Amino acid sequence: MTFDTALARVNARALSRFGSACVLAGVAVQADFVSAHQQSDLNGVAISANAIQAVLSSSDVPTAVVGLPFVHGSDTYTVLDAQPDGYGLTTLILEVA
Amino acid sequence: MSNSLHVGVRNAVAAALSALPSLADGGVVVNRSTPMAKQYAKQIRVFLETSSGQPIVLSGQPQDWTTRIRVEHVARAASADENATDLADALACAATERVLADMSLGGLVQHIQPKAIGWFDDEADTSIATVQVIYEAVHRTSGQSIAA
Repeated sequence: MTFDTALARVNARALSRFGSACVLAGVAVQADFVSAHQQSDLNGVAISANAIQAVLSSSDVPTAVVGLPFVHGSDTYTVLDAQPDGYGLTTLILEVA
Repeated sequence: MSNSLHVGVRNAVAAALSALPSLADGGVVVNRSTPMAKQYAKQIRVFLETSSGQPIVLSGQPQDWTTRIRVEHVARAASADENATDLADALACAATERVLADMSLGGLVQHIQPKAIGWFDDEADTSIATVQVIYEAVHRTSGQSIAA
């Protein structure tokens, strides 16, 4: 087994275990969706918010993904950025649609 | 509730930059701090920074403002043969001509002019660069409101 094959298996297992069924641009994908607290500092003014992201297989991410809809549960988001990790997974940066 | 005239000035700059034909495949984004996505080669980013008001001598007198608008002209090279700084610089030249074609922004300001320019670059899979142009616009509001 090559390293790339092993890596793909690990990624698939991790997404299967920790991810959930989502929809990216109308296509079903398995993604690890996270909405974590983020405190922003705006020139000394603190604001609580959420940083929303989803990790999924890079092979599930279209080339021009920015602006496409991402659905998790009953909530729809818009893709702001795609950040591949170079090891087969991509983090999508999302915002509320 | 209405926006400030200052936001109107920013929007007028963004509108001038958004006119067709488009200057950048990533379009013009306004007051967003998300990075230019990998799928784009060029993007123009408009930010309303700060505004300082002139002292009012008589109560109720109109107030003059100097408002800073920062425009980022971002570019990435397609290959090692291209220089991203040159690409961003050319984008900045074209964009500046758009903004300064009407230095009153349709009568919204007394005048707008570039006050500072900065060139910044970095190396990634190809070179990436931004040319930052700081505009100052002088405009006036009534003495009782900052709204447009």
